Amino acid sequence: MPDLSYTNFEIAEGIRSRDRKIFEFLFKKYFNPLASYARFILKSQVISEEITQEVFLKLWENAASIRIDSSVRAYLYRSIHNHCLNYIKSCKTDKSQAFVTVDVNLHPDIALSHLSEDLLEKLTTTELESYLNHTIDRLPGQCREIFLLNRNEDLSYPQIASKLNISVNTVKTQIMRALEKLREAYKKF
Amino acid sequence: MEKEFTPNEHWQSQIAGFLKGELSFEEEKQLQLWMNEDVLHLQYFEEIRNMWLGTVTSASHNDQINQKWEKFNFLLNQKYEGKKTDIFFLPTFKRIASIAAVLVIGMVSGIFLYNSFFKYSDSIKDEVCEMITPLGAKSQILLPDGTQVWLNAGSKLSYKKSFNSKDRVVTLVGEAFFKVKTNKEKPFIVQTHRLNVKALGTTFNVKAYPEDKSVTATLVEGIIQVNGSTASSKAFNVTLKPSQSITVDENSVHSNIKTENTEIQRESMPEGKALASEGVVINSNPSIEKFTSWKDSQWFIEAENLENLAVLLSRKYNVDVHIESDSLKQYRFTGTIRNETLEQVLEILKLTTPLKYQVGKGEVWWDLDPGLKENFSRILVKNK
Repeated sequence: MPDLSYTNFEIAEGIRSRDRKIFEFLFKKYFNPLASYARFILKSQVISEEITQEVFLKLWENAASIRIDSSVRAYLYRSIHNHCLNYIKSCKTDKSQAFVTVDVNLHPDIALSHLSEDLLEKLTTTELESYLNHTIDRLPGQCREIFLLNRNEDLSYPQIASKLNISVNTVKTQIMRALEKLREAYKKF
Repeated sequence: MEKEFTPNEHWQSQIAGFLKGELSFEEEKQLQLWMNEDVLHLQYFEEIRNMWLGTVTSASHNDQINQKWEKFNFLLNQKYEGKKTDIFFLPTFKRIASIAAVLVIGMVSGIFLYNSFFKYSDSIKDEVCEMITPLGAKSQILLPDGTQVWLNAGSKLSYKKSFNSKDRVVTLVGEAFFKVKTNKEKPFIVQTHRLNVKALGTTFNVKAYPEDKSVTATLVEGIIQVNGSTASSKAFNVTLKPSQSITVDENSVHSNIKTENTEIQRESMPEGKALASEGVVINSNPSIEKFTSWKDSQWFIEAENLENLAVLLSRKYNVDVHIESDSLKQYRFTGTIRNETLEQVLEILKLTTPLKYQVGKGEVWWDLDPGLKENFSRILVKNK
């Protein structure tokens, strides 16, 4: 990714005028985080990426009329959140999708428990992100390595385990330890 | 000071699994029960989840995200700008001057992976046009003569630029469904690595993935002539009637029978089956949906063993499926898949086969679930 950043004003203007450079910047910066958010809710990689693309298409389609109140970041997260909810809703109403009674909604139900847009917005502010990144930097060596392999490289637990030659359970324990530390830090934030 | 609660190792591990989407349906159900047990459990889960979401994953690999952007950019061009010069953005689109020859009608799966490009071979006159559908996608193509083609995941269709000038020849690697525009003067010929199909104006399906154990052509409507040679170099030439299919086995090596005619021998073969040549079997299929439904929204699977099904699913969902247990490969599955996600399909498989699975990025591991196996065999014994 080119290491350039734009001011909020340039981004807002760029969206409005459907500037490819700005769209490329946003796409490359936010595609993976948004897709990973969607996958957390929907569990499916394929559908998550499809929905994420849909979010960017919508941004392009509505570019002229969109009003971005806070930040593009918050807007994109709200958008992916709503797209996920809509997808779940369409699965629930479209009975033809389920030919065997499998409760396809269990995972999203758990994932979304008490997850409101307010909270989402709080979680996705750049301030919190940099604060948490700071906390991650101070995690003990292996714990940090595992956490980053998981969150940044998006490796699965078995993949991390075989890469570092440790057990899957150790991986999970370290991930949880990292999250606990972050939770403590968040309470002070 | 509020009460601090930390769950035991088991639940920590289950929560970690859930965050990554690596829990089975049954495990998720247990997790939900546990969360409903105590408000502290729920609170703990939510806080951990919030931290998980707060640590947003950054863009991972440059080339991956670049590829995604290129595809998205291509889609924008297709959808909103017509085919403007912007299309040259992709290196593979360098010489796309003749793209008008190919009209992309639409992408069936709605997945944005669609690539078409032209390759120039050594001889200038022999320009070859290639259509490629990547894994995890399907596409629909209209050829210059009006023939409609549905191209399945991981398949390539190519033809020379002289297509339709005196004949109509296409080369297929993978699977495609053809609805051939009638033209009695110019037969439509599909070439694969194992067999060729000649048609005048018919509808048929050809499945010829080089990595598969067999190659199959299935006729829906009209008449087709199929010729080729088996792995043991025995030539065959057969005419198919509607709802018949011909399968050439890649592993047949020994053969003495020579049948180079359209007569179908009926000897000791089971009902509806006939042997045209060693390693070549002709089937009369009461239901051909099994062969052709992959292109539709409903995909019928009939008594497919899990080994084959793993290959089909890996193409459809673009994942690598690893089967850890040999005995699992023998189980068969019958059912219909509509728009289910891979995870949903796997849960459905678990209803009738003793499957245990683990999902990673682009990879799925299948193993035999001994507990389920025992349950299933108990049911079978009961029913006897």
